[in-house]
Amino acid sequence: MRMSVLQQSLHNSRTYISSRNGAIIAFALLFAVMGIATIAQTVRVAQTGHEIDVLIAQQTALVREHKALLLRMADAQSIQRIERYADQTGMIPVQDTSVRFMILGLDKGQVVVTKALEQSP
Amino acid sequence: MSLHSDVRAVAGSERHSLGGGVPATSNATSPWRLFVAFGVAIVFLARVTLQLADVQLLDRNGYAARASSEVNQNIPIVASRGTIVDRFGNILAVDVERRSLYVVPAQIDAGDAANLAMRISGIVKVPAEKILAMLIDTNSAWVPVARWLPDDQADQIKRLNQESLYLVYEPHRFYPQGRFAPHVIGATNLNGMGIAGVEASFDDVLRGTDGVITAEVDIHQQPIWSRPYVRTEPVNGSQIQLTIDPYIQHLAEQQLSKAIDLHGASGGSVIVLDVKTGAVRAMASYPDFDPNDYAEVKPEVYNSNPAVGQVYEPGSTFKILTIAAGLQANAFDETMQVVDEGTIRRYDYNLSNYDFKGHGVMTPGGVLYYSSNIGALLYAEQMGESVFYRAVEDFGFGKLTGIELPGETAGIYWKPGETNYTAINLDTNAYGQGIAVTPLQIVRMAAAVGNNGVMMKPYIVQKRCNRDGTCVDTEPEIQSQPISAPVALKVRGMLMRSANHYVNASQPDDLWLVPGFRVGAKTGTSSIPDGYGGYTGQTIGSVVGMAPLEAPHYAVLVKIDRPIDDIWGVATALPVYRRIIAELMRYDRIAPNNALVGEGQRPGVVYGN
Repeated sequence: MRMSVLQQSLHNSRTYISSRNGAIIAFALLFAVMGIATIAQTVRVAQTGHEIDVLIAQQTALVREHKALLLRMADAQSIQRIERYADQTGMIPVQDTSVRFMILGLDKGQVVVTKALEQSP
Repeated sequence: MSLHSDVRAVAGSERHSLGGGVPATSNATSPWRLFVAFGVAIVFLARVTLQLADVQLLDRNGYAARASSEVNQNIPIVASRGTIVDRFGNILAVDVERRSLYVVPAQIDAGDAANLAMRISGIVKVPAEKILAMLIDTNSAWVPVARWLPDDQADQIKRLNQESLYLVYEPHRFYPQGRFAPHVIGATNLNGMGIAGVEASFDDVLRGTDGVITAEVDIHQQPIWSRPYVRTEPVNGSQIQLTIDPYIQHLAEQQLSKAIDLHGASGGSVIVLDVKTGAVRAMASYPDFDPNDYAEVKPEVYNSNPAVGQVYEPGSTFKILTIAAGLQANAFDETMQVVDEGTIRRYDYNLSNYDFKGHGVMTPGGVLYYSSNIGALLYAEQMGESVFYRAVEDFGFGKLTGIELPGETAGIYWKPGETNYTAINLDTNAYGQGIAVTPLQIVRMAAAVGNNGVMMKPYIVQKRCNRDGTCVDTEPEIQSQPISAPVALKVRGMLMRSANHYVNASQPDDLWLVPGFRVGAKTGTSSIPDGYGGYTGQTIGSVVGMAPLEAPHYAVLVKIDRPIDDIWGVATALPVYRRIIAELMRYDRIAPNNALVGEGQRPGVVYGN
């Protein structure tokens, strides 16, 4: 009987130690998993951030190029520049006498106003 | 050292005491040493505890903020300034980022500085001596050598592969059309702030709002992605579309420049308004400037837009108002006659026509036809002060037009009852003397006559578009209706005869000012006041009118300041006006009427330019 109690006590003690070790191991594992998750998350944030930075750099470069192209386009559209090129290539402005008009008819309202203008003293 | 020795001594004595059982005589002071050491430790620990409490509890937020400010920085994201375009979308002003060359003199090898200066000089086209002075300027940490380099030059600098040279992207305002409408567009200073024209009046709209990145940064001020950072996006400036028509503006500038050169004039202005809306299609002034290099001219040139900011006596062009006001008030009708004897005596002054000649009996139309000062004076007296000055006010003189340009002036005239007003003011004001107006006010008056008496508010901004695509259009706005449509039509008829009279003034038969078209015009020649109650002897020649008179589309003013070869507006401003009107009719694809072509004239062909 006394042995039995001793054995029982020993058994309980082993069980207690065993369950306590299990909890410690479990906590340790949990912390390890959490640590790994945190590191993984941080790495992922850094990677994503780097990708975003690369995209922002590309966007900046594209915006710069877009503006530069706008400037080139505007420069090419400049009337002064076109006129200068035209002069350099020997072109001359259209003369008054070069233009021919075709009159297709006046509308009624215009005729009324025209008469009023003519009759004004 | 001494404390350490004491402790060892104490320990030794204890061992001795325990082993031998006999207390040593030197142990009498040991507890005190222990107490002192313990006390020092307690004080030290207390200090540490207090400091910890201060850091962690009492001033926690302050330390946290300081730490955060050292780790987290605000990196500004500069908003892009909005573009300015003409009515067809051609770019007139745009922000472009270009690389600027900076140097850190401390990093320059003094022995190689001259060689490096020569190499840089060959690329950026700046004298080598000037660059060398920058390279060896060790008093400065960061020296700008050349800013906003073209891409090819920046690439060449990069290929030099010098660690002491830095290429930094910087935004810069470019005006690709150069001297195109500079007084309207304006300019920005080196800080990107608008200082003239639309750039100044719409500076807050064009500028936008800068953004910011709040993040942990590395030594190069680049964000560290240890966690997502806070990014407030910039709001780029709005795009502004002007009412300026590129062809008409170019035409106005070209013709004005030719006239200035031809007559040796000191300056001038040309304005073209759309009479139906009040939109400014062209606004040219001389002297002009290149907004890309505005600092090369005097500040008064780029700071002032003569078309809206300078006043002058309008001279005979003001007779349009005198006749329109009387007809509108029924003070006289178009058949009422007065006698022009060339000179008339009023208030102890002799008032005369420009040539001192009389034109005899004339109607209101004759006042404009012969440009009779005496006739204008008599009709003004016929209508009286109240009617005349009410019309002056209704036509908006003495008040700002409200155009969206900086530096506009209201003009000056004295009303009855004011201290400076005398009775002779009515007589002289009737033919445009003793009153100061702006060119824009005069052309707006002509536009009102062309728009059946309805006066529109002149405007220069057609549309404002935000970056999100939403646009706000400027709606044409009626300012007043100083005269009725029938009166406006009568005045237009008078202006047509006035215009045609200029072509063949020495001959009995008039010819069409612009063959094939009905065009209205009234010239004016005004003396320039000397500021002391007299005149300088110099003149301003001008002409204002509208076309085509059947359904006017454009009102045009041409003003030539201080011409040397001929003082009269008929000789200086009228040829410019004819050419511009002829071109405008072609531009609008209005066919000339063969019935409106005189002997020796050809449809649409303007001579004498």
